[in-house]
Amino acid sequence: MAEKAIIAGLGLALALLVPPWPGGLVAIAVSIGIALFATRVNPLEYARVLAVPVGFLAVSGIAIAVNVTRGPSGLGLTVTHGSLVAARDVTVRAIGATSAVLLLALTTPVPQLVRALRNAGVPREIVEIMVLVYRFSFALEGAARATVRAQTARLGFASRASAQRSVGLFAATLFSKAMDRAARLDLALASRGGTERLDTLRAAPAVQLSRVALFTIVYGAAAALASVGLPRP
Amino acid sequence: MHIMEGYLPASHALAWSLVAIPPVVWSARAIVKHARSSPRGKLEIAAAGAFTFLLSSFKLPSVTGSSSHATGTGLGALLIGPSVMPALGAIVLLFQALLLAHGGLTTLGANIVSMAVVGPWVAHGVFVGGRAAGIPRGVSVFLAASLGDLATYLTTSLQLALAFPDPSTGVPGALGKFGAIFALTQVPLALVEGALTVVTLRSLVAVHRKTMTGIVERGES
Repeated sequence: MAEKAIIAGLGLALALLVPPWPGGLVAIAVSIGIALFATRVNPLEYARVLAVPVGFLAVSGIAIAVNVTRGPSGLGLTVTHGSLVAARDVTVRAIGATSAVLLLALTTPVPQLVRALRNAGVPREIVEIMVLVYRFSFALEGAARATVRAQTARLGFASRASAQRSVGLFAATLFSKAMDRAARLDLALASRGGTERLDTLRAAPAVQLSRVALFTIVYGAAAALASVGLPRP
Repeated sequence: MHIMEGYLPASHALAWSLVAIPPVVWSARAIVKHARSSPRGKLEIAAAGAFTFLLSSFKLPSVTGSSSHATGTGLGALLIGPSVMPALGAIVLLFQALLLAHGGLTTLGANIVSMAVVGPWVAHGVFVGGRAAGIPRGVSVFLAASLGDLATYLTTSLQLALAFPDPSTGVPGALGKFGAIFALTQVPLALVEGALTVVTLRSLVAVHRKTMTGIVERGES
């Protein structure tokens, strides 16, 4: 986790600190290249996950590209060269930053994340609640899908009135299952002589300094290229 | 209403992170105290957090053939309590940033302030104020969820306006611009989520009166 956090942090710093255009494109290319070739993330999966934030960012860019101007006839909307440049820069910077963090998102199991937070000094109770929220979410998701499937099969969403009733019952059922799981887990822990700690096995891959150094050189070269090596518009 | 990774300038991202720290620390201390006093309390907080998270992200069929989802902000504040929401919200937002690439690490502070601090406290305040004024519970819940949602989106609009002020009309013009753009989707969503929250809480209170620990139960029992 520490190694991946360092690499993702370097990518994030590169995306945020280099001049967005055209340097930001270098940051995006390096982060995507490392994810696909160094960590061997499936390209289709990477594209699928990246497409969602890129779509949001493209739409958000429109909001920055449009200016509100005050004229003789009142307020109006205009698009200027400056606003287009600002929209482009923000969008490229955000895509670069998102690409860097995707490296963590696609390669980091929750136990590694949790261990890193514990090492960072986050209280044990908070970390344990994080783990439990994560595990309860997955456990409950199946039950939630089954409930909605059953309600749909019984025409639970066929009319406005039945849909309202179904949503209410869905929530009540889900809450019931959530609290039931909490109670059963509490009972199971107590019956096994469990203490207040919820420890799990730890898998701690060692940090390879040579690999970290290699990526630092790659990101450093990219930063130099993005900052001074490319022609400015 | 997540602000995406890298969207805010570094100085703004840092400033919002600093603003988010006190409520998150205060909230985390309350959770730790509760968890230490009762091991089962820890499990129940986590279960309630997972429930709110799932309900707010689970797409439900609607009669129009599209889909809708219940609120996270208003429901969380009314069900779990606004003082717990900053830490629980930070946990969920961190998961979303690191595991789903939704939101971001640099914008975590800004997102916590809008979604886990302002929204829940507005929802809480509206509900408590509404009940004190004698407004029926269902109407109070509807107003709390809807206004909590609107407060979240207005806070996000303000954060974006401060980061990207309009060249000629400044922060007010940018606030109007971002607010108007978000209003297209968020005002109808707020009304729908208000109604969904009423239905959800009505069912929950009816079925789980004994397990409810939020202000709905405390205020009504």
